[in-house]
Amino acid sequence: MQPKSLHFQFLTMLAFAFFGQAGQVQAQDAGAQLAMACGSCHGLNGGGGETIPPLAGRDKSELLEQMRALKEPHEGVTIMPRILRAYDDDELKALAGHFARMEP
Amino acid sequence: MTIARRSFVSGLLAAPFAPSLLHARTAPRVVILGGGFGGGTLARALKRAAPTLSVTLIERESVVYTCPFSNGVLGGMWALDRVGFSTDGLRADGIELIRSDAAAIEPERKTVVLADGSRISGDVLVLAPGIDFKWSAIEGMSPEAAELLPHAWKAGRQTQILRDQLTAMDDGGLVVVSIPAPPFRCPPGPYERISLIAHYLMHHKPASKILVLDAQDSFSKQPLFEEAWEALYPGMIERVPGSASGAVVAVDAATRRISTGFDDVTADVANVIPPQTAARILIDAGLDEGLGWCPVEPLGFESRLVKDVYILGDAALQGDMPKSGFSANVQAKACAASILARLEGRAVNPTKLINVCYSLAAPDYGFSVADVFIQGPEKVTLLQAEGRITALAAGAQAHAAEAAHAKSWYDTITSEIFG
Ligand SMILES: Cc1cc2nc3c(=O)[nH]c(=O)nc-3n(C[C@H](O)[C@H](O)[C@H](O)COP(=O)(O)OP(=O)(O)OC[C@H]3O[C@@H](n4cnc5c(N)ncnc54)[C@H](O)[C@@H]3O)c2cc1C
Repeated sequence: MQPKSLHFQFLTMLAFAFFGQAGQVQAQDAGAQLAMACGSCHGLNGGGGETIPPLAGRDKSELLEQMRALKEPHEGVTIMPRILRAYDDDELKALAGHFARMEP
Repeated sequence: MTIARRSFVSGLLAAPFAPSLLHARTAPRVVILGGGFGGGTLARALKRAAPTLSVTLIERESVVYTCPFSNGVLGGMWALDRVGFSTDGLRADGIELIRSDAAAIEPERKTVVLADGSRISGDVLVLAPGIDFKWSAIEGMSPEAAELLPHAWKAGRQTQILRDQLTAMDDGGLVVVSIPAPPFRCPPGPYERISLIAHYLMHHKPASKILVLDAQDSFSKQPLFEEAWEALYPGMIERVPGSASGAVVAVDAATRRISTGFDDVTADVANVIPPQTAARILIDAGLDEGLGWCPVEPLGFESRLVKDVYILGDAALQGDMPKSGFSANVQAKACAASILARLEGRAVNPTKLINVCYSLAAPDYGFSVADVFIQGPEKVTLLQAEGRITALAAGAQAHAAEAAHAKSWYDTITSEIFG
């Protein structure tokens, strides 16, 4: 009994650490999963870098609009159009929702 | 809470991983070999998501020198320190760091055997030891010869040897850069290196020349590199492609004689980058299936040969993803999600992954290839084949912005892995 419950406790903690409340798992999963790749430049916690903007804690609809606009190349924009063209609107919504929920 | 537990437990019982875990008395242990871009990222990602998980990282170096930005050392843009990170940072978040050389892997036992004979075993084994060189592919090449003809394709001491040779060379000297057939670590890396060596020579030894002996015909971001070379270093760089017998087949380290089989040349400085394979320790363990690189499945980068053994970064065949630090970092995060999902007895869905490789043609002149991939059923697949690189004639402002982004990327990723 003892070892089993210890282990059970560990795994429960693990599940909550990574996925939060069970009911929210599905909704948050896609955005969080897609965002893994963004973190390489924008930071694991979405905090941005010296010249690369932060994403965490941004207003969801504002960020979504900005990502939609960045699908088209324009003056002063470097790599984002080449990346964002590969994401559909549902994915952009999931990403915007994910970053909006993160602590800035 | 009750519902969450019930679904959690039934998921766990359904999981292929469950039997060994159910018998474990303590937290599952993940053992990671290699604290570079793949292994270092993975250790941090696991610990951050699941602080009670036991994570053990085996790394031989006390200071890891990153290959990214090491070409800047050769160009005189910064000293080697700029790319060196103490592995003490890897102890962050409660990661158990074992500073030791791994001698062998026993994949079925999820065990790494250290040089002192001790054995480190886990429930899950993740291997990210990078590359090794096929010395025998070039007659006369060997680890000893590389002291005189540095590859500098693993950063650190080798980078410094090449830098010192460049600074010691007289003006009017000949630098030979030899590039192997693919696949090798960092497809645009040799051409960034040529650019930044040219930058150094242009400012300090302008009568010098660079001869590029290339086993490849075409190369990554070729139009952008050629545009930059024409504009910044006219007449300094001559390249012999593979179809014109550019591949180096033999060298004589003592005299710096470099042979393509078609022609011989004596270099003042020779940067000979040998052909590459996955780190030998993986090949010795049979994890490459005789291919020289390790086959992995596309979702979490688990070995196709041994369950609960994952292989990240340059050592693996990662579908369409290039062998880059960026790729290794992204793969490590997907791998962490896969490992945690399996521990929880849950399936993980495929997602999209990114690789961006910046190159510097000069300190303020950057450009990039930017790609998105999908984790397909068979492999990680590139989504858009066209328009992947910075536009030609982008202008000084765009190149300056990309150079600044390259530095921003590098500082963010290294501080998150090693900081
Ligand atoms: C000149 C150059 C420039 C580059 N520039 C870029 C760039 O700008 N952007 C980019 O994304 N990528 C770049 N790369 C590619 C990048 O360096 C690699 O793709 C990346 O390092 C791969 O990560 P990895 O985890 O597979 O291997 P590594 O980062 O090499 O990590 C492997 C680690 O394992 C350790 N190790 C190996 N064997 C053992 C053992 N037996 N026992 C103990 N420890 C062991 C090593 O010490 C090392 O720390 C460049 C490469 C080169 C050569």
